[in-house]
Parts: sequence; C-alpha cells; structure tokens
Amino acid sequence: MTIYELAARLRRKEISSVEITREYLNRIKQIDPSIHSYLTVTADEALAAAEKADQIIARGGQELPLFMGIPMSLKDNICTEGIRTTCASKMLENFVPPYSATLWNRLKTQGAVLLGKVNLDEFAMGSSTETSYFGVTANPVDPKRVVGGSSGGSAAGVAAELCAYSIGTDTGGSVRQPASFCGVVGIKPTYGRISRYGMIAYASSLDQAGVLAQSVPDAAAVLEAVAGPDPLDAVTVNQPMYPEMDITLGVKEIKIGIPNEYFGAGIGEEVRSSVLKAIGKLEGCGAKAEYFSMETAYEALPAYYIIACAEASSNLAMFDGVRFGYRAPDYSDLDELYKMSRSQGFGAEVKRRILLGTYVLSSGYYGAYYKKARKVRAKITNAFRTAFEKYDVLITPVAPTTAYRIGEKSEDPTKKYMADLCTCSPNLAGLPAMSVPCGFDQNGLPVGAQILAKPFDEAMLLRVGYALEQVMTGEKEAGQWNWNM
Amino acid sequence: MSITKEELSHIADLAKLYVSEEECETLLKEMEQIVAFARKIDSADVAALSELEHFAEGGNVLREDVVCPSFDRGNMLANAPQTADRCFQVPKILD
Repeated sequence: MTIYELAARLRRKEISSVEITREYLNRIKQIDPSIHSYLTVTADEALAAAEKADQIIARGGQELPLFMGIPMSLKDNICTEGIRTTCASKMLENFVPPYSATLWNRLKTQGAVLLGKVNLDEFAMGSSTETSYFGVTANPVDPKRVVGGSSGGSAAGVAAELCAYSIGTDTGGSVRQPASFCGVVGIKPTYGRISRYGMIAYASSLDQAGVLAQSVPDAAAVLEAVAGPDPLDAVTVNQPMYPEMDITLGVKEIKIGIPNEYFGAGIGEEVRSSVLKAIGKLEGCGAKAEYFSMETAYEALPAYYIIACAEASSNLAMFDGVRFGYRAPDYSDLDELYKMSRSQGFGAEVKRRILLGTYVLSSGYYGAYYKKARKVRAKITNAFRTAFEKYDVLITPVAPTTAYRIGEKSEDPTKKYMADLCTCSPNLAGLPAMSVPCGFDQNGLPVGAQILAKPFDEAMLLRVGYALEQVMTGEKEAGQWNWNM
Repeated sequence: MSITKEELSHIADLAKLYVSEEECETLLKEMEQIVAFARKIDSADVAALSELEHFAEGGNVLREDVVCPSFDRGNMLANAPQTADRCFQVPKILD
C-alpha cells in the first residue's frame, strides 16, 4: 500500500497507526527470514511512535503531516541515535550512534514510524548487497537472485511491503539500481539537496541520500520532507524544492534525449527494448524523443571508481579501533592495533577499494589516475550541461541487466563494477536521477528506466516519472505484490 | 604495467591494512584487473580542463560562528573499545 493510501485510511479512521505497524511487524516476522532485508527491527520503538501518532491523529484539529503514523525503514548507514547502526560491517557491529542523521530527524518530527534498519553492501560498496557482513538479501521477486545494491534492504523491503517506504543512499547508483531490480521507484536527488549529516560517508563528493517507494507521488512527498539546507552539511543548498510543481502535468512537448552510448555494448537486449518501448509510450503521450551522442559515457565508469575509491580510502581512515568500532583483541603496539583492527573489521571488498584508493592517491600515480579522473569528471559535467540545453530529460536504462543470480559474476571484480555503467555519471555530475519500473524480462524480472534531469530540476524528473508510471500501470500490476491488509 | 608485491605491501602499509601471503596473490590479480580498467581513462581528451572544476555552481556557504553546546563526553566515549580516566585509551607510544 502506498503512503498516500495509508494516510487516507488513517485520516478516515479506518485503521490506526498501531494496527498498521503491527501488520508490518507481523509481515517482517513471517516474510523477512526468507529475504533478510532487516538487520535490526525496532518493534518497541515503532509501536511507541505509532501510539503517539494515533493520539495526534485522534486529537485532530490541525493539519497532519502526510508521514504521521506511517511505518518506514532506513538503510543501516544512516545514523539513528540510540539505535545500532552497522553499515553492514563487522567494524560497526556494535556501534550505537550518539546522534541522528538530519534526514531522520526531519521524518521523525513529522511522525514517521521507524520499523528498523535495513541491509546494504558493506559500507555501501557494491551493487548486489552480497558484501554485507550479516549475509545477503534475496530479491523478493525471485529469492535466488540478487536484490541489487547497495540499498538492497531498502528495495527488498519496499517491494515485499515490509515497510511503506525506505531511505537509501546513492554514490554511483545504489538507490536506482536496486529499485530497478525489485520493480520499485528510486530517486536520487541533486547533490546538495539532502543533508549528508549522519550518513556514514563512502565517497563524500558523490554520496547523496535517496528515496525508495512504491509510487512516484510517494517518492516525491518523501523527498520534499527530507530535503533542504542544513547548517550541519555545508554542501546543502537553499534551492526551492519544486517551484509550483505539478507532477501530473504530463509530458506533452517535453523533449527527451536518448544518449546512444547508454544503449550500446554491454546493455542486455531485453533491457534495451523495454526502455525504448517506455520512451515510445511517452512519445505517445506527446513527448518528443531524439537520439544523440554522448561519448563521455565510456569514460565515466573508470573515473567514477578512481574518485570513489580515493575518497573511500580517506573517509574510512577514521575506523582505527580507537574511538569507535571494532578493536582487535591482540596487538603489541599502536600500529599493530590499527592494522589488526582494520584488517579484521573490514570485509574483502572494502579492503580492495581502500587499497585501490590509496594506490591512485599515492605519489607517482596521483597525476595519472586521480587528477585525470577529476578532469574527466569536469568533461562529463560539461557534456551533460550541453545536453540539457537541448533536452528536458534524458532517458537511459538503469542497469545493463535484470537481477542476476546470487553468487554470479564474482570472479573478476570489474565485471561487477559494470553494473554502475549507466548510473554513475549522474553522481559524477551531481544530477538528479530516478528509476521507474518500465516492464519485465522473459523471466518476469523487473526492468527500470533511468530518467535524468538538470541540477535541481527534480520537478521535471518527477513529472516525467509520473507520466511513465501512469502508462506502465497495466504491465506493472501483472508482476506486483498484492497485500490485502 | 603491473603492480609488484612490494608495491602492494607498501600501499597496504599506508592504508594500515595487513595483507596475508594467501590474500596477496588474489589481491595482486584483482588489483591488476581494476587498474587496467581504471587506465581506460588514459585516452580521454581532457587537456583543456582543470581537475579543480566542480559541478556545483555558486559560492561558498557560510554560517555565523555561534557558540553552542557540544556532544556529551560520556556519550562520545560510550562507543570506544577502551577508555581510561574519561579518555580514549591506546597502547603506550613513548617509553
């Protein structure tokens, strides 16, 4: 059920927040053991928050925030005061943050009910949720398949209706790609839109929180609730959220750019045809679509990995076994304490990225890798700027394939990195981007279309996303989960 | 261009990580693949661009320097693996 549907039922007093929360907690108990999306379930806190929401709703007489009494989840790299926040790592297995992320404070103030913290790739490094220290999350559409990542727990939770919506984080596609693999909506807004305060950093110049929801209107509402300037994060900007936004305006005369390179080698045939069909449907609603060339597409992925790993190696230096996190039991001196704690506390993928980041920043290689990657980033940003002089939105696939089998593609790490092919460029250029379900492959696995807009034009993004969602409704229902509460 | 065992061990030392003998072989192979992949940007034509360019337009965001309460010391120490006298405790570094 969507946020809007639940909110309407609450307002009509057909159901209470405590009842809704109990229902979700029961579903988590029954369904989650086979999916494993939750790392921590906060049942007591959720019921207490629901009770409080019910009192506010009963009192009436004031305008209720949409989120009042609606149960949701947070990716477990978002700090919650007093509630364990693990980053799906042994390093933070017992970490209880002394403060909350700004985005969570904002939702809590509006009456959101936190059901718990959900799984991710360790430190958000991955695109399948297989690198979590606490085990893999299965795709609710087909449990033998990956859920995508790194916000895999969020996507699985929303798809299996184990929460009404979830907040994830996106460094190179970590909200959009799992949304696409699970057939839900995922939006990563413009860099600077949502405060990063209390989000455990992976790559600070790319990290941005995002929303996973069942519908475009739900995603738009949550985004509006968490966005906005925050004195605790200096990159947040004071830009109006949706100036006179109406996501129902339709796509008549909207100009869609189709970058050839995002439909070329490496993109699965079924993915390509589903996304092109979706564009065709938008054309049927009056949009004007046109192919164009964006040669920077191929340079984005290596530049992204260089920059992300470089920043990760610096950010993750804070985990040293001294102030918080895991400390190895045996060591002889301080240097060994650092090394033992880090070597035992981090998983293989995290170590690999720290090592690569240290390598590209080390003397002798800095110019060839990091400096060059920064220049490529500027080139990509310029290419998007030029494209948006001509087009209102760009549409591409979200991921090259649909959800693959758990354990597949594990041999060569760079093969896995290809999953970020289409999604990492918006992070490099700071653009808003979203994933909207646009069909299924022959195995019944969801395909997502990625919509990109110019910085701070989330209104356009959501308008096109909503139009696509409307035309896709028929096909979407065929593979959707039904929950008769 | 390949990464040598010595280079890997130097990088691991900088990153404060141990790489065991068994890990070393796999890591060298994987790093090799990743670095080859990263080198794909070698051919990118970026001569006219600066590495200091940033996508965010507009100036710096400034705020007033206001005195406000900081975090509670006890709360901040609560996650520390080892403390003594309300301080973080580490092995002795000076004799």
